[in-house]
Amino acid sequence: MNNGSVKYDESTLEMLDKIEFYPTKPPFKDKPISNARFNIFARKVEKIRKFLEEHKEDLHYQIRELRSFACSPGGLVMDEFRAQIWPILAENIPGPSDLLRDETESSCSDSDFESAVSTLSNFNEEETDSDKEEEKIKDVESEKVDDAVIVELPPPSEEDLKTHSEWNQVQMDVNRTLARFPPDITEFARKSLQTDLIPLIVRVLWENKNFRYYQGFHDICLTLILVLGVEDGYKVAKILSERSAFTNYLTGSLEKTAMVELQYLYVLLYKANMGLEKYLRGADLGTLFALSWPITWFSHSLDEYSDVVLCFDLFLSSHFLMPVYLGAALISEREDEIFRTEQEMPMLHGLLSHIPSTVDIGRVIERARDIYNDYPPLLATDHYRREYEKEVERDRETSRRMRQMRLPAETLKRKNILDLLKDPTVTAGIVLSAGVGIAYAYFKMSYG
Amino acid sequence: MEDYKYLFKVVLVGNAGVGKTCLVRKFTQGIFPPGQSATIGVDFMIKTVKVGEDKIKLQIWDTAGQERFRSITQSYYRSAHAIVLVYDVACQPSFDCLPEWLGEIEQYANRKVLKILVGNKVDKEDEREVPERIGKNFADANGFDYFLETSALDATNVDTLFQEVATRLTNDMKLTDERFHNFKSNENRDGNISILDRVLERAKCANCRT
Repeated sequence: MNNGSVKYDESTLEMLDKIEFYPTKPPFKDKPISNARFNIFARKVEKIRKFLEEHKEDLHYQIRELRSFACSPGGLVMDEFRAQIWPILAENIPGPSDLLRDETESSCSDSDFESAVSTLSNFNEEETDSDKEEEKIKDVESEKVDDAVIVELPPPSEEDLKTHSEWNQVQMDVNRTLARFPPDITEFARKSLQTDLIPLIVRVLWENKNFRYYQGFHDICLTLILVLGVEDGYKVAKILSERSAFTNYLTGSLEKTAMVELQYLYVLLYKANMGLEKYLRGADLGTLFALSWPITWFSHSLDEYSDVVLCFDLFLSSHFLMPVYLGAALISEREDEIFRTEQEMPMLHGLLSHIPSTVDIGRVIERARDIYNDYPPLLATDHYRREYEKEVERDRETSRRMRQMRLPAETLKRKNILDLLKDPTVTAGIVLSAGVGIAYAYFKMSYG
Repeated sequence: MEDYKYLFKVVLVGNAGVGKTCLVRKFTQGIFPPGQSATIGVDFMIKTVKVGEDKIKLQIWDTAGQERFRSITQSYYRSAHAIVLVYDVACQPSFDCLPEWLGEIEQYANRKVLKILVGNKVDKEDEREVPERIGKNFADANGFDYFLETSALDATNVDTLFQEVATRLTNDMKLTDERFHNFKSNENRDGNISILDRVLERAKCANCRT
């Protein structure tokens, strides 16, 4: 498999030319892994290309296949494919509030959307219930619209959009996105995209007066406009704002949405990498270091454009908690660095909030999917969460006792000793050691 | 563990886009990143400076300026030794928000926190909207310990700002230390260690090693 001499279609090879896998083209001498990887991607390009040709007419009904392309190694491989497939994935995105119709279809995240989400919203807050209701109404309305004559209001003009209260903030954030553009883009193209991006974002906000822009939503829209262009970029941004995790971030407080989701980082790590979870908990790390992960789908913290789009392939086809799974996988991947870092919150926060470009995101995605399959949302948000909470409580109790035991002798007044004796584990310990002592003495007397 | 005399926690706050991240990066890494993206949540950096012969470690927390992140970042105020409130001299609205920020600081930070007001982007002299005098008056009227104008772009006063923070905090800490030692040597004459002693010791540790 790992020689570079596999034959491919002309058109596939043409497409492969556009991908920057490596600075040089195969075959790579003495680099079997690079060759193997190139071959995997090349085969995938060929497969997707053929699939898209065969299903020109009915691509919308091929959601299962499309998701499986997007989630498997290499994702959708090329932006050319993404431009065609992302809108379809977005239309079918399994969001937190309209999961009923998707449970049988998803290939990436095969189970349990509905129950997982209902658990999360219980854990969450009342707000989401009303959101759900609204969402249902919206769904019904949109179905009606599908059947009836579509009367569309004219889109707001740019002058209208400029009156939006968030225009200035969006403009400021978009104007400082230089680092987010792929390196090969010309300055002219970049500036023109930035100019288009501001009204695109504000138009999404314009659609729903409950939307409150947050810094980071512009990162999402930027990725969409880069891959899809202005028109489809807007369509997908609108869909995502209406029925995905972003709906919650745009309407609710980040504390009660994203920060709550991020708590599952520790539940997952507890199951998948117990020692690491304990180390991070010992430092009282919290979850703020990871805030940008769910709310920007990692686009804020990844340096490589190709890594960002790979993440979007995955998230557009997965359960809305997938960014948390990816986060857990990423933390696991950086285990060695973490253990080498002082067990203190600031140091670990500094380390983890930046993702070095040496991290192999493809591999991290694989790992995230493994964690997902081993500990799916249904269990993570319910059973495992409770298990984890118990563990945290138990640990806290133990360290409380340890502290009590470690008090300097001089302060151990009679009262403390009496208190300690009331503690069943301490009493049991004393009784046990006394028992062992007596048994030993008896043994000595009888046989010694 | 690295050797240092004190460790201080400094938190930067202020409206979005006033240049908090650029100030921190100029100071810690010596670079002015063009097109520095918006901060999401809180960023953390560390730098050691010298005050006299002492090595002082500054833990710098750079918070997101947007209102949507405020409830999340407030928890970082509490253990701060110094809070640096930044506005943009070329942006009147960022100055007009200062009372709001002061309210936040009063509500969430320690009462004794060192408060510093910074007018950033003085390189934009042509676009200046807030005269230096106005900034200075505001600082005086509102109990700030220190005021200065900076530019992360051309490095004006960037080192001075953080050096001043370190110096003031170090001096304060030394004063506390001295008082503590005097107190302790008085106490030790009769050979007893009081509870108060221990409390003081603990408070001191908590102060310098949060």
